[in-house]
Amino acid sequence: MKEKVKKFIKYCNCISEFDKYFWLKQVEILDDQKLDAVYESLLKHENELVGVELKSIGKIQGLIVKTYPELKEKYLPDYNSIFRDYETIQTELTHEKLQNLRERLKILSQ
Amino acid sequence: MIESRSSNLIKSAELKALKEISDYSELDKGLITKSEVIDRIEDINKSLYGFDLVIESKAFRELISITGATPPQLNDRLVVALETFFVSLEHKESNIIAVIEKTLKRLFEWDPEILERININIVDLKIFANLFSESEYQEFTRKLIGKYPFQNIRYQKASSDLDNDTTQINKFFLTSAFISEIGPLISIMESIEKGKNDSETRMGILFGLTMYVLDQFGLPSLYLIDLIPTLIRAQVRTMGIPEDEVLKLRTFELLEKVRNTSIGEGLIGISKAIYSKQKDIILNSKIGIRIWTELIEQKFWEKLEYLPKLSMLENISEIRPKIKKPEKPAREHLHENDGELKNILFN
Repeated sequence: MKEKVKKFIKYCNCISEFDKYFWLKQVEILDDQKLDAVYESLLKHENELVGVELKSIGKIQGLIVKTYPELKEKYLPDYNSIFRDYETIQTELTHEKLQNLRERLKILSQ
Repeated sequence: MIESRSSNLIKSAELKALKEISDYSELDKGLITKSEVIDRIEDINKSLYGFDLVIESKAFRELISITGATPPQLNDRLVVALETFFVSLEHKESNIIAVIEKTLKRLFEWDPEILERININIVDLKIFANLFSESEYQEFTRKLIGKYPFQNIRYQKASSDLDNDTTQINKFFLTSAFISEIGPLISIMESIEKGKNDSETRMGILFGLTMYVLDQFGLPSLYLIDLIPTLIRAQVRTMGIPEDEVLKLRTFELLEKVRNTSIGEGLIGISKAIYSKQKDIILNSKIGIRIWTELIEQKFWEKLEYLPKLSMLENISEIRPKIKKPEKPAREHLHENDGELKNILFN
């Protein structure tokens, strides 16, 4: 569990990079109960962050497609797939699934 | 490298959208013009400004509650550390190295590993300061400090041997090794020793301290870009403004509040230098050469659009891909902010 939490801390975006150093050290001295609580807290906030990101990106895409319908086929399918998957993973949320969504978003943005 | 930050993904999506429509003419498409589409995209981005900071703040507070840990966030501690240096400047403290040591130990008091490195670094700093006469020191710094290649020199020697080494060539190698490890601390020391109390001096101290912190955390220098707005917010918090309000304020609004403070001056100086691409200002700061080299190597200017949280400091017309400026004037509330920002930075 310790390694899982450390891995999550390293790549999550809900903690500032400058505070990650401290939390990685803290994880070393936590018991299992606190580690579980830390993981759940990180998951909750990271999920919230991804949700807000997707909401914002969805608004931008929606505006583009509404104004330029000919872009719809080019633009929406991949994003819609991510939006749907975000809803799906809520039932069994893990940090790996959230990270996967972010990576897919990153690729689409390039 | 700053990867996958929240604002980066939204900013990237924004830019991608702008690029997609860049080839369209300015003719009306249905109910709105292309200019209005662009304005609305910016509105979407701005409407969620600060959301990641709010979540970050919530996450930090909850982790504190769960773990029972006590330190404030790093940016708050950094602001306290910077204030200590600036006060030392005003009081013309004679023992600069003692000031540096005391401040750094307070900054990192919760981490034994970093404290141990600070002890070693302070010894090196003392040796460096004692190794030269004043004229030799000036000559040495003039020739070597600011030159990127010396950062790669590694030369390990026991501290006790150094006292007996007085030849020039040994001084060169020994101090080169020191500089590669304690360069940021030398930058702080030199800034304080100048005795001036101007924005350039404060910028030197600010550069030195933030670079040292980044070194201790193993973060690349480019994270300074991420650190600037967090330091601005931390400074605003020391002025008694509630947390919720601090998180909602835009960068230019925060800058306006801190511009007459010591830290605010330093941060504005750095922001100006970076976003005006004023290479000379960065290079005049001894440690700035390292930042500049990283920026160039990572093609900073091409990746400017991926930097989070400082979007209000960007010159939007520079980063937008070849979109013709609309003939109609943009809506007032989008331009008044840019004018205010320029006024703060360049006046």
